[in-house]
Parts: sequence; C-alpha cells; structure tokens
Amino acid sequence: MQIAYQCCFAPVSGYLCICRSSTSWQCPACSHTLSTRASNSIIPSAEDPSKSISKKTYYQACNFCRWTTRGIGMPDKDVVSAAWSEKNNPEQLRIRQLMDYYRYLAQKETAEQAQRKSSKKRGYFSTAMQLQQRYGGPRTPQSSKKHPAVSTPLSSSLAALRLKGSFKEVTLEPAQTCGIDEVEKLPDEIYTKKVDFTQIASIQQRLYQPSRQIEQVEDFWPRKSTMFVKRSLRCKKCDHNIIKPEYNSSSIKFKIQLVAVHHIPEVRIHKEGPIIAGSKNKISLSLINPTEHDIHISFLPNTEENNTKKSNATTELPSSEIVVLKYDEAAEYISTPTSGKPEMFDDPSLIIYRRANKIGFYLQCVPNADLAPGDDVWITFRFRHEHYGNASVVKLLKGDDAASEPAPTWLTQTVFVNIGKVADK
Amino acid sequence: MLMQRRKNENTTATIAADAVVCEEATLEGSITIGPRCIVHPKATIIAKDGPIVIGESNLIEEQTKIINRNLPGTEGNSPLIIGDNNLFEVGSEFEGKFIGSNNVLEAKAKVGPLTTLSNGCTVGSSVHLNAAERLPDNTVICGKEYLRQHARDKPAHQGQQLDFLKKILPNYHFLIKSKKHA
Repeated sequence: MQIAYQCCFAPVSGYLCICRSSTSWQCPACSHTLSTRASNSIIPSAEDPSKSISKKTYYQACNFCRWTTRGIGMPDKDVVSAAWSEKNNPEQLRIRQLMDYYRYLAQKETAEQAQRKSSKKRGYFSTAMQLQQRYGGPRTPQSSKKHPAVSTPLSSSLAALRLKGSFKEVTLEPAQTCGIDEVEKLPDEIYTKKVDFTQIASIQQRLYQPSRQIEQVEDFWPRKSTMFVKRSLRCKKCDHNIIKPEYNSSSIKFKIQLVAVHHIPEVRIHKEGPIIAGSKNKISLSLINPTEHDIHISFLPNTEENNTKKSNATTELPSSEIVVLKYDEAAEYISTPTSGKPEMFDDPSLIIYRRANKIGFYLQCVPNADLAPGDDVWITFRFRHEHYGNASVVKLLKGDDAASEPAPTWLTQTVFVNIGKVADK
Repeated sequence: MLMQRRKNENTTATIAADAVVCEEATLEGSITIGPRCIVHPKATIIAKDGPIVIGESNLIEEQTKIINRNLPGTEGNSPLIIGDNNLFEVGSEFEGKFIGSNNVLEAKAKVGPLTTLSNGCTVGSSVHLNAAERLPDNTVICGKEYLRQHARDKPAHQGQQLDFLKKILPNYHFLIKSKKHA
C-alpha cells in the first residue's frame, strides 16, 4: 500500500510522475529528507565595506546521519526560497542523441507502414473501382477529395513525399568501444592499500543516483525526493473496492478503507520469556478485538496442509472459548463502568488480564528437542471468530428495529507466531 | 506529597560551583564534575573500579549510565575521563575509559568498555559500539546498518541548552552541592 507524500500538493494522476519540486531533497547517504538550516555569518556589508553585518545563510542538512551540503563544499544559499542546484547527468548528450535517433526510426517506420497499408488496400478494390481509378472520372484535386479512400498513384506518391519532408535524416555514431588491452590495469597497491570505508560510497548509495554512480563520499549530491502516490485497490475475486483514497493528495483519510486490522482480531505477543527446547514453555499472547461487537474465540490446531511456515513446536491450545469484549470508544471517558455487564469469571491459568477489548492468555508450547540455541521457534494454530458486517448499521440508519442482530459469519484465521529464539543453556 | 530529602550518601563527589547536579541522580564513588556541567535527574554515574573525571560543559541527560568498571578478569584502578562539551542524550550508556570533547551520544546509544571516542564523534541512536577501537575525529555512526561517515564539522555546541537548563532545573529539582570545591 503506497503512502501519499507532500512534495507538491497538486493532485497527480498515475504513479509514473516525477517529482519536480526544487525544494525537497533527500540525503544521498541515508535517503532521509534534508532540512534547511540557517546559520549566521558575519561578512562585510555590500554598501559599506568597513561595517560588517551578520547575514543568514542557508544550507541543507540531514537530521539522521548529519550529512550537510557544507561537507561537499556546496556554497550556502542567501535566500530560503532559492532553488538548490542539481548536477547534470554526464551522459545527457549521448542519451539525447539516442532518443532523437529512435524518434527518427519510429517516424520512418510509421511512414513505411502507412505506405504498405495503402498499397495493400488497392488489392481489395473491386474491378469496377479499379477501372474507374484507371480510366474513368475527372482527375481534378476536388474530385480526389470527394473520394479520399481512392488513392491515385499520383496522390499516394505526393503523400509519401510530404511525410518524408516532415522529418530529417538523423544519423547516429556508433558507441565508442575499446579493446580489452586498452583498458587501464588496476594498480598493484589495490591489494595492499588500506581501504577507508568512510570515504567510499556503498552500492546502495551509488544506485540511489543511477545517472551519476558516485564512488567517493565527497562527490555526494542531494537527490530529488521520490514520490509516493496513493493507489486504490480492488478485490481480486469479486472486484469490490477495498481501498479508495481521497482526491486531495495531502489528505490522510480514505473514502473507502476496508483494512483487515479494523475487522479481524489481532494476536500479539504479550511477554517474551526464555524458551527451552524440548520442555514445556508457557507463552503469553494477547488478543485485541477491534470490532464493535463482543466476539467469541475458539482455538483449533492447524492442519498439516495449511502448515506453510513449518512450525517447529507443538502447542497445547486452550480448550474453552474466550470472550473478548467489543471496542468501546466511550469507555476511556467513563471512569467506572456502571453498566450491567456481569463480571467475567476468568480462569487465571488461562487468562492473564482483561482490559476493555484486550485480553491476555497463556499457551503451553513444547519446541522440538532438536532445535539449537539461537533458532527461531514458530508455533501455529487457527482460531475461529465471528464477524458482523455493516448490516446492523444499515438497519439502524434505515430506521428498522436494530435490536435484532444479523447473523454473524464465522471466520477461521491461521496464525503463525515466532515466539523468540531458543535460549542458550 | 511531601518529598523526603534523601541524605546524600556519596560525599566523595567533587562538584564545581556552577555545575548543576540534580539530587535525583545517582552518584557513587569518587567523581569529579567540572564547571558548567549539567546532570539531569535519574542519571547514573557509578565509579565502581576507579574514579570518574568529567570535564566542563557536559550535558548528561536522564537515564544515562556512566559506569567505570573493570572488565571481568582485569584488576586495577584506572580513571574514566570525559572531556568537555559532550552530550549524553537520554538513555545512553558509556562504559569506556576515555571520551574527548564535543562528542554526542544520541538516545539509547551504548558504548562498550573497549571503545574510546576522540573528538567530535556522533554515535547515533540505538547504536551499540563494542569493538576495541578508537574512533577517529568527527566520525558519525548511525542507523540500523551502522553507516559510518566522516563529518566535516564537529556537532553543534549545546550552549543555549546548557544556559536554559541552568536556569530552569534548580526551579524544579534539589541540587547536590559539594562541600569541597573543585
């Protein structure tokens, strides 16, 4: 899911847009956004050389890795809104030549195709038309306009000339090649010289600016910010709209936002503890109910076919059903809940805590005895819960009797949990 | 809620007259704190296996740990020396033997016992340094990938922050005043 970003606040169509902003740059070393910083510098004033005034100069700096434009020797800017210069692509001339040549070839090909098509068409003319074309009818420009489909030999050759005249011949020098003997050999000291990693750009940093491919850190230059664009998503099976962002590119809301986090209960790890292979470990997980209804969770073991992640521990799941209360937005503002909800009697060996729509519970798990210290331990299980659609809200809006809850759909989710690494003995 | 003023058990700390050391900070052992330093509450400075000497204008924020302890197996009483104008951000830990001046240990940075920092170094957030090396001047280490760079200038001086804290902290915290002056 792409995120919207704020280079330019105009709504952009498609995701192939290039960022044209001259004020938003990214750090070449760590690709975080650069921020403009001001510094006071005391220089002699322009009018009166004897007086010296303090002037504000601006430079770009990265807050994360502390790379600054001063470090590469880029002069500071006097005005905040001045555009920061960008280095040109050294291969620009050659690329332009190649593009021109390609354009010329493309034009030539379309002209040839048009010619071929028009010549083909002649074959399909009926004999009557052919006769008329050759012998009959006045051949004035007006009449040829009346029958534009009929192309006379004269008119077709004129058309071809016309097309040829619209583009000029473009020739391209073939790329320079050099034999392997002409390439400079590497100096011998490359094997013995100590490498200073702080001066050499990493591959990642080089590829961030593919046009320049800098090797030395001192040649770094701020790069243009990449743009992120929001896209809408449809279901692959039923083609229903799942995510539809607002038209305004700076808005974080969505018109339609049907994400699983708001509907499916979330399983999280509550507390990490030391895991010993081959023996019983008690792990604590928590379940969060994001829906507006109380849900009942029952656990099921995972089937072999479904075990795609290859769990390496056996789990003892809770046999009883767990009830998790609904997500109540107003609950945080009410200090003591005076509602007539009956006190839940929770089994302390199963349930750690219960807080509004959250619940913590224990699971017994035995990792395989052949696991070595440091191996990840994966457990898997399935849980069943009910899901209520929007039918109740729709009914409420319609004014129908909302007391009758619609029938829920029961869903089963498969969960794979990495509970941690096997502890050292 | 009345706060009971703790009796300061550590009386061997020599604190300069204009240093601001909050009472809530934990100071143990023989510690010397230079002028214009600021030690926030909940900072921990433990001179277990040797004295700690802190220079001028250092800013030691909350939950930092500066511990002078020997490596397991070594004996001795070597001092831990901290230079001037260093910034120890929240949650940082330093267990080495020497820091120069103008360094910055960002939040949750950990510098182990074998590493020494020279001048102007910046250790980024959550960066753990354990190797036995002396970082050259103006080195910056940051990020998940421990990106190492050489900065042109040393990090900015915290003068404004030091002045501000010197005025504000005494309004809200009790301070430790040393009987003997450095």
